[in-house]
Parts: sequence; C-alpha cells; structure tokens
Amino acid sequence: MSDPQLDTVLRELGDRGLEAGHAAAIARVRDRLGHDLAALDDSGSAAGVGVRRASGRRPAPTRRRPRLLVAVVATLAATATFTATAAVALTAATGSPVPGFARGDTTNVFPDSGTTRITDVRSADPTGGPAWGVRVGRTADGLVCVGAGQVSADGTFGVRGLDGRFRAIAPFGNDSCGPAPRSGRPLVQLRGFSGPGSRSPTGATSVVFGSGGPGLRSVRIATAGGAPRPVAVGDSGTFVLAVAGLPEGAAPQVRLRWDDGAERNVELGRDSSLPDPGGRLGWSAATAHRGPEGCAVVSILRVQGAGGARVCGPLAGRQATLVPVRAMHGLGPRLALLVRRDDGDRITVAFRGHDVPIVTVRMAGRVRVGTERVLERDRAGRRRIVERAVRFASSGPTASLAVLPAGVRARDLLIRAVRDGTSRTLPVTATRDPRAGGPTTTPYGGR
Amino acid sequence: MTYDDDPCVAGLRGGAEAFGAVYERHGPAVMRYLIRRLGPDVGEDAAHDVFVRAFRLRAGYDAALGSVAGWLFGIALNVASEHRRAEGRRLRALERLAGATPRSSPDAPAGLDLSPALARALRRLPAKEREALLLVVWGELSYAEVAGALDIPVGTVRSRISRARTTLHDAAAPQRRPAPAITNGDAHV
Repeated sequence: MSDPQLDTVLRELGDRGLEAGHAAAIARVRDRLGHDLAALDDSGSAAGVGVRRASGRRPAPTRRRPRLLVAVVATLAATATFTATAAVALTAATGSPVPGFARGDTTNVFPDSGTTRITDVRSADPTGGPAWGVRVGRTADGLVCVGAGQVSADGTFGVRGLDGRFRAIAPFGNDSCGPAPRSGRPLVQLRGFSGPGSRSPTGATSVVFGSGGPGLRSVRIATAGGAPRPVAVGDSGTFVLAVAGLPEGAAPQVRLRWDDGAERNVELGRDSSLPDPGGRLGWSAATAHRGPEGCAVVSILRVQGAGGARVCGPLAGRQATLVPVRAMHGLGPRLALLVRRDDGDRITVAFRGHDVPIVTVRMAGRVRVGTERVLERDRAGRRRIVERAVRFASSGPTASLAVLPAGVRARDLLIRAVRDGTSRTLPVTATRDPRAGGPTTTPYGGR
Repeated sequence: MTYDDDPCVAGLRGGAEAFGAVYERHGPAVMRYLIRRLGPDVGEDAAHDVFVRAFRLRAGYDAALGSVAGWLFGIALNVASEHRRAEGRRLRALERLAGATPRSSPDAPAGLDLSPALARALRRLPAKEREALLLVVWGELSYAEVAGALDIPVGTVRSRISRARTTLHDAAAPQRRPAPAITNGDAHV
C-alpha cells in the first residue's frame, strides 16, 4: 500500500459513523459564531485580553478538578452574593444550570468583565417595582451566562430587597453559565425573589428567563397549569416573564421554537410538588395511611404548621376520586384528585382541555411485624444476642394526585391512563366523605 | 516567507464581520478535522470553541511565523487536548466501525484493507506521531503547516509521519499465509 492509498483509507476511516456532509454543522457553528463574536466584538475588550501567540505547544497537563469541588465553589460564591444582596432568597429547580461543568476544566463560571449587557426584553414586576430583564455575558472560555434582575430607571441591573431598597447585583454568583444556547439547547431558568411586601410567601416573585440563541423564534410559557401565553423574544434570543408567587406555585412550562423548526419543552419547579391553581403557592403530597383505601396528605409547601388535608380514595379499581380540601393559609377551598397509577402507566389529567400538573406518590403498604437478632452488651460488659420485634413496611400502590380549584365538576375532567400508546379514560367519582379532606391531627407542611 | 498576502490575515486584523472570512475559508477544514477526531457532537462544539478563541487571540497572530491554517490548527489541537475522553471514545468507535460497515467511498482504491487492525494500530500510535499524521490526513495540512501548528521543525514532522506510516502499513498489510511445507514431491532433487 502506498502512502496516498493509506491516506485514502484513513480518511475513509475518519468519516465512519458520520453523516455524509458537514454542511449543516458548518452552518450551525456559523450561526453561533455570528452571535457570539458580535457579543465579544461589542465588548471592545475581547481582542486585547490575554493576547499571545496561540502556538501549538500544549499547556502543562493539569489535573481535572473534581466536579464536586467546582460545584461547591460555585455554590459558596452564589450563597455569599445572595447574602450580600439580601434579595435572592428562593431558588427553584433550574432547567439547565451550568451544564458547562461537564467539561470540568474551568472554574470560570462567571462572565468576563466587559462582556455583560442587558438585553431589550422586559417583564412587568407583579409588585409594581422596576421591570425585570435579562443580563447576558460570556466567560473566558466561551460559555454564555444569563441572569435575571430588575432594571432601574438609570439602567442599573439589580433587585429590590425586602427593605424596599434597590441594590445592584454583580454577575458573579448570580448569573448561570452554560454552552452557548442554540437550536434545541436553550438556557432556561426559574428563580424566586422575595421583595418588599414579601412578609408572606405569596408576595414573592418568580422569574422565568433564559436564552435560546439567535435562532429562537417564539416562546410560550404556561404557569400554574394555566394556558400558555406568548412571551416576547429579544436580542440574543432572550426572554423573561415575572409572575407573582413562589417558584413551585408558578411551576412553568416553557415551550420554545426555533427558526429551523426545532422545538423544546422545559418544565421547571415541579420537583415532587404541585402548583396551586391560584399560582402563588405549591403543594406537597405524602403518604399518610394504608388500608383498603389509599390516603395521602397534601400540604402547602414552605408554610410550617399550616397542617395538611387527608385525601383518600379507593385504589383497588381504575377510577379517580375527587376529594374536597379545606381552606388553608388564606387559600380558598380546593379539590384534590387521587387516582391509582399502575406500573407502566402514565396518568394525564385535563381540565377543560388543559393538562393539569400532577405528582405521583407511592402509598405505604402493609406493615409486617417481625423479629431480628442483635448483639448487645449488658451492664457487666458481657455480650449477648437478643431478639426483638421490628416493623417492616412494604411499599404499596402508586397514586397520582392533582390539586384543582373548588367547584370543578367531575364531568369537566378527563383522566386518562396511557400505556404503550393506547389510552383509557378513567371514570371520576366525587366524594363528600367526611373522613376525606378533613384536617389531620398532625401538622404537615414545609420541606 | 510570510503569509501577509493571505486574505484571511486581513480578517484577523478586523472585527467580527471581517473575521467571518476566516471561518468561511478555514471553518470547514477545522470542523472536518475535529469531527473526525472527536465525533460529531463534541467536534462541532470544539470547532466553535476554536474560532471563539481564535477571535480573542487574533491580535497575536504573526504572519511571519506561519500560515493562518497552521495557527488555527494549533488552537484546534489545544481545544482537542481538552477532550481526551471524547477522542478515546471516537478511536475505539472507529475500531468497531472499521470492519462493520461496507466501504462507502466509490473512489476508494480496491484491495485496500480497512480493517479493525488498522484502526487499532492508529489508536495505539504514539500520540505525537498520530497527531502529526492526522493533521496531514484528516486536517489536510502541508508539512510546513503541521510544523507551524505543532511548533516543531518540519524535519521532525517528516520523521514522525514516516514512523506512523510504517506502523500503519504493517498493520494494514494482509496477513501472510505461511509457506506450504515442502513435500517430497515438490522438492528439487
């Protein structure tokens, strides 16, 4: 085999497992660069920072920093900044928090000075303060950072704290960074802020924001299980929506669509919680009882001592039960829906055509009393084996729960169990059983 | 020799818009090289990183020291070195794919052995030899450009590539059948 022949074989080997052409990839990177380089160019400082000849010499090998260490450093930094500004108090689950950590080779998870700017999107503050906006920036190694904050009249980026004072917030520790957003790979975040008037958690503000890159065409956001509404897309593909209430109450569903037809659905703030139909608070669900009926307790998140409501229904058959829930903590009465979920099923609950958020809990099963042998020492120090009784709880059936406004009628609900592409409509039974929905003797609530 | 007459040099002396010419000229080659080396997903991201870094470092390019292509591939090597795991995965995948699928290139020379043994030999090459060879074969650079990218003399590039080719030729050569034993009937008497 001659050298040219060997080269041909090697080129063919290199193209194994790849798509026929790279045109699409080249175009994608061109689009990303058009956006990213313009941002670097605008900063005016990019070209002058760290200029040196990029020789082929390799940098001295460095140990990869453990991801945990990077995360801890970032968390400590974030905590310090949060404390300093006394404003960012509630951070919900985020959609894409610093995915750049996967590279593991950098601690530069904050934007370079001079690269940050406030984009042109705004969302009115539900408490009447300055409008919310998005700040974008870029790290030294090309990650894109986004942060949410209020934009004062003089263009300062900050937040109003509990004392009503407006304080500027620095990007470090507040803005989250990740690979440059692009089609199908957005940066989407949900954050809760306690501002003035937040003596009650219902006075908090939750902000959904992010960036989808320059090709982002439209964003629709549904909060608290409501109908999706369009949100304006600004420069750099940024968007922002501020709503009243806690993040778990907003529980937004963000639908993004790009020019190339790609779509992405991001759900935030639904980590084992249910948004209240009013949108400002969230509910948690936990197993409470066992027996022929399945029971769970729903309680308001973050409100200690508010108690919970017991929700019971038959779990033997395939039916849903609608149970009244008493008014708690300033919230009016609600209804809870309880339905058994078999393994492999996916339960969907629709109210007048809109999907309702649900949470799934596993019920406690039968408790069995058994014995176990343990080694003990008596007062004289002698060892002996004793047998003692212990209680073993097996896991029971799984149920899905939803919280609905009072007054919802069973016939307005459509409950489906979907399995292997086929769905079955489940009947709904409303109950006024005095045992159900009543207050529990033990206060529940809080996380 | 300088490369001042390269139109891309002007691109390196301007802003983002002028820099677009650099990507148009060298982007496909850098992308192809990195995708072949790191796989499609990582390679695409790595190519993006290369041009972002190149944009940041463009004031440091010295036309007297080498071509724009060699300079860009020097950055590409640095970026690729941060993805050693991806490269390892890609080389192992090539080893599996080498014998698994039919030859796709219609102009591939007949009779060549695109065997797992060749892919394995490529994976086992010393990194310096493999890097020099792949810059020529996958990056389609000249020896001088490889020397610029690796910041080593051209003679060193030649020797590394020569050793690499020898190793791969040996791996790609069809297995020689053992010579048949000489029987009495075949023996010359």
